[in-house]
Amino acid sequence: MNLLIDSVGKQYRGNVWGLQNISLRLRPGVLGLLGPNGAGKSTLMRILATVTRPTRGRVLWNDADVLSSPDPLRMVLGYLPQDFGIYPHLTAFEFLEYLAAVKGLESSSARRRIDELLSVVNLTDVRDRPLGGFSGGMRQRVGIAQALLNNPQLLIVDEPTAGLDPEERVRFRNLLSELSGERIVILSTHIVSDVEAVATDIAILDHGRLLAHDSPESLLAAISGKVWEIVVPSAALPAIQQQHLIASTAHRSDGVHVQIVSSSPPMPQAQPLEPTLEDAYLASIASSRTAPVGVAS
Amino acid sequence: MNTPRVVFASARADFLERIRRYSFLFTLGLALYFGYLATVGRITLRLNDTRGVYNSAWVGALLTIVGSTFISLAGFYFVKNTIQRDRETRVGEILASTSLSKLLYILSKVLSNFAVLSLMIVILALSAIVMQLVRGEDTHIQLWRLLAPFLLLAVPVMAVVAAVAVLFETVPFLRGGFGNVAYFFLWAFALSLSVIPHFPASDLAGIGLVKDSTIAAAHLSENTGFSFSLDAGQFSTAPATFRWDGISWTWQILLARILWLGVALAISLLAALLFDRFDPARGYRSRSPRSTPASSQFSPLRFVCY
Repeated sequence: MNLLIDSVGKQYRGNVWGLQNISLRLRPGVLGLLGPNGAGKSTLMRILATVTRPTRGRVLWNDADVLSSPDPLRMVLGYLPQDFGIYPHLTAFEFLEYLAAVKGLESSSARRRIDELLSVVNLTDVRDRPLGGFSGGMRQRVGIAQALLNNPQLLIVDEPTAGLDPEERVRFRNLLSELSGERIVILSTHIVSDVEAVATDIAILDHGRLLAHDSPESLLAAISGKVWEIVVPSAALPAIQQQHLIASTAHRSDGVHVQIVSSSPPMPQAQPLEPTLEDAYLASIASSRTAPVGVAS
Repeated sequence: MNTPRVVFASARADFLERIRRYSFLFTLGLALYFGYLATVGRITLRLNDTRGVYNSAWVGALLTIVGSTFISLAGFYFVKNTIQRDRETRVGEILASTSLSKLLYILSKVLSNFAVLSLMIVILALSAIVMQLVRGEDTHIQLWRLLAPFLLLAVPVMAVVAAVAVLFETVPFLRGGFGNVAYFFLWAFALSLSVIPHFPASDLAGIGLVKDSTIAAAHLSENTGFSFSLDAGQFSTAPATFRWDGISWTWQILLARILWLGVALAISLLAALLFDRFDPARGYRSRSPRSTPASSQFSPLRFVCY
């Protein structure tokens, strides 16, 4: 089972490129696709979900061209788009029954599968309630249930935790982690903590370009020794923000604890820190733009 | 893929979603109210200063014309949002990521529209039984004469309206307000074609059929005025009455009515050709500022699904 994305580009009207020359080879595991808003994540997701066609490049599923023959991939694909909505007057069961039929499941097996999935996403008790009364988290769980109806080998989820409260986000992450198994999962998000716990690979996109594709360990190793903490008075913070790439700040009784990504100590009193994935992400994004002084590349 | 099951499941979901809305009850209520006005004589069908006795045939034809006229207008605006909803909820993107073809999707949407509109006609037809009894001029219920106009005149109209509503959703410039205005004029034009003498092929609503049949029954000339109007008190005298036992359903008439179903199917096929399959890069700007603008790759004649 493998998915090859080969030199894929997407051009829009006005000679605007939403994606440029993206190449990735994916095998079973969870790919965390990170990038700021507008990076091209959703465009890439739509191309992989066969919703839209790339302008350039090719996509191969198990070495077969998806662009000329999308159905083999569609049969084993689960897709949860960004900002997924629902039919508010259908119950969860009716909605899943509808999509099960569209995905080609026979009636009896569809009912069994829906019952299983409602149990997995913990919605069995509300299966006969109209979806219009569901919370954002419950709707997202319906969304992931529909994506799993055909037991997909490729599962694509686009910004699934956007709009969820912290508790729902943690639940959703755990659910994705349980589901990864022997399939390729692509999780697109701009929230680093969403992928930190589950991703076996991370790809970073910005302005339609692929900045990095590596394991979390490798990304962390690349930034090892380049994350520092300093404690400064609040008044000094604006000047530091102008000079350095700030990963985080925390106001404490002894001053502001500032985490800085820099290839060399930003100040004599700076203490080295263990890097996090967020640091690696920020460094990668910063290096692709006008890099502040001293930022690792 | 089990094609009938897919079309049925898709149409069923859409149908249930819409008939559970208050706006469905509101539209249906208005249709019934117009039916009531017709029964009590506020909406009249006249041949000069005569009208038919309110027997099953007359009540059936009268309420069919009321239903066809009103539901083909209000019903259009009620059902013309099914593809738009799938765009806005992104359910369309999920569907586009499956093997569901454009043709099956469009057929399921037309079927769903047709089911919703026909349900209104069915309820109006059932109410016609009550309304004939309420009117009380002829309390002998003859089911076929009462229901045949609904089945053979109104149902094909609903099929065409269902298909046109989907077509309007697949043509970018007809999706919004312009399409709504354009449909109003199309609707008025289609109704006017119904009563063009010697051109029965254009009689979508079947009004010309009713006119010809009633004129013959009343032994009036072909040039007799045929009016269908809301009585705001302008009729000072009670019209004379005649007995009309309904349209003689010849094979030619039945074939013409079936041909309208064929027209609906042809419109559906055209809609499937034009449908962008929820690809935001094919001429549709979605609500998200991050979503993709249109590309120049839209090919309206491309039917192969992707």
